[in-house]
Amino acid sequence: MESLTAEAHLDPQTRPTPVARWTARLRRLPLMPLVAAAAVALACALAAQGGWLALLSAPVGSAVAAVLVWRAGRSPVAAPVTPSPAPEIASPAAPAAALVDEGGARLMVSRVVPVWRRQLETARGSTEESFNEMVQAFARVADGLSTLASQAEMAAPTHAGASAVDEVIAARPDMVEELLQPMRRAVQQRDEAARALTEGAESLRQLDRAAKECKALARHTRMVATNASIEAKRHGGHGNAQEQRGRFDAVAAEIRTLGDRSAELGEQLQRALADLTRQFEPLRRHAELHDITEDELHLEARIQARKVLAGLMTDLGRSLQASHEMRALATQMRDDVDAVFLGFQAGDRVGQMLDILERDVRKLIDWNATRASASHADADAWLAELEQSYTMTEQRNQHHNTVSVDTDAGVEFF
Amino acid sequence: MSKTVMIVDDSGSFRTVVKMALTKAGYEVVEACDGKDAVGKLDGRKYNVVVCDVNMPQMDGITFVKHLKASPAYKFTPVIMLTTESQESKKAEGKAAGARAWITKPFQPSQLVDAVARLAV
Repeated sequence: MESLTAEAHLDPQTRPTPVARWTARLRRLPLMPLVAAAAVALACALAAQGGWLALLSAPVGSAVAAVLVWRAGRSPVAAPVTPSPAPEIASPAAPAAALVDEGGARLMVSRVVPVWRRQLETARGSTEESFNEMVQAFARVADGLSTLASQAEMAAPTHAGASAVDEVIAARPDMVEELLQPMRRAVQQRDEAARALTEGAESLRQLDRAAKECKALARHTRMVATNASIEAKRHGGHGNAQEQRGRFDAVAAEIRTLGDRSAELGEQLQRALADLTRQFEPLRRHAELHDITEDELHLEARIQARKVLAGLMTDLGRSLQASHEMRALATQMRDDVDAVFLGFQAGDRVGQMLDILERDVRKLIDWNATRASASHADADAWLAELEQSYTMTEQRNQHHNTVSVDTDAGVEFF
Repeated sequence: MSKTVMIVDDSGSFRTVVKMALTKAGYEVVEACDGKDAVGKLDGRKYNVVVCDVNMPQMDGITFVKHLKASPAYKFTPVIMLTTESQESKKAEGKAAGARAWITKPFQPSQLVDAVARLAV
C-alpha cells in the first residue's frame, strides 16, 4: 500500500500547496491538550492579578484542563457502517469529521482491508469447498459409469426384445434339453413301435399268403379225394389189377405232392411266425423295462417344465435386480452431475466477488495516491460504496461480519 | 420443432453450462454475452423464452428487458432473470421491467428447465 506521506512520488501538478500542507499539519495537532494548556495559562494569569478571581481561576482552570485532557485521551469510536446514498468520497478541501494520528493510508487500510480479507476468505473457502465437491462428484460419476458397464455386461443376455427368448434358450441349453427329455423318450418309443409294426406287417403278409395257399391246398386235397372216390366207385372190382394199380399210384402221387406242398407251407408258416416273434419280442422286452404310461409322461413333462421355468425366473430375477441397481445408479449419477453443475456456478460467483475486490483495490491505490489524509467518514463512505457494488447476500453478510443464512436459492414466479 | 431459448450472461462458462442443461431438455439455445449483444440478436428470430443475468457489462439485464419489452416483435416473450442477486428491490425492479420469473444462483438444472417449460410460448 502506498504511503500518503510519499509526496515526492506525486506528479508536481498534483502535489498539495504549502498552505494546504500546513493546514493539514495543524489539523493533526492535538487540539484538546492545547486548549487545556491555554486554560491553565489563563488561570495563572488571573491568579497573578489577585483578588477573588485568583481564588476562582485555579480550581476552574484546573477543572477545565482536566476535562479537556480527559477528552483528548479517549480513543476515537468507529462510526457504524451504514449504507450511505452519497457515493462521493470526501475531498481534501472538505472539513474532516475526525482526524487520526496514524495517517490517512493507515486509516483506510485498517478499515477497508478487513472487509476485503473477509471477502477473500469467503471466496477462498467457497472455491475450495466447491472444487472438493466437484472432484468427489466426478469420482462418483466415474465409479458409477464403471459399475454401469459391468452391470450392462452381466445383464446383456436377458435384455428385452424380440430375440430375448432365443437368447435365453441359447444361454441355457441344459434346461431346454431337460424340458425336451420326456418328449424325446415318447417319440423314440413311438418310432420303435412304428418300425416293429412295419416289419411285422410284412410277416403278416407272408402269413396271409401261406394261409391262402393252405386253403388252396385243402381245396386240391378235397378234389383229389373226390376223384379217388369217384374212380373207386366207377371202376370198383372191374378191370385188371394193373389198371387199378396205375390209378391208385396216380392218386398216391397226387397225394404225395399235396403232402410235400403241405409240409412246405408248414415251414413257411413257422418261419413267418418266427419272424414276427423276433420282431415283436424286443419291443415287448423294451416295453417291459421302460414301461411308461401317458400320465407318467405328462407328469415328467410338467416337472421338467417347472424346473426350466424356475431357472428362467431366477435369471429374470437377477436381471431385474441388476436393472433396479442400474436405475438407482443412474439416479445417483444424475444427482452427481447436478452437483458438478452447482460447482461450476460456485466458481462463477467467486469470480464476481474477486472482480469486485480487484476493482476496489485498484480504486484505493488510485485514491491514496491523491489524498494526503483520510478520515473515518472517508472510510465509511468508501465501505458504503463498496457495499453498493455487491450482488450477493453473502457478500453483504461478510461485509458486516454477520452470519450468512443461505435462503436465496430457488425460483420465484411473478 | 424444438423451442428456442436465448441465454444472456457475461460468463462464457456459465452460458455453456446452461446451454448443456437446456439442450439436453430438447431446446435450441442462442447465446449472448451481455445486454448489448442480446439486443443485436433481436433480429426477428423467434425466441420462446429469454434467460437473462442482471449484472453485465455494457448493458445490464434490467435495461435489456426494458429494451426487449419495448420491441413489438418481442413484447410478449417471457423473460427469466437468472442471477446471484437476491435483494427484493432488485426483484421488484425486474418485475417492473417485465420479467416473469427470478431464479437465484446457485440453482439446480431441473429448476431452470421446469421454469423454461412453464413459461416458453
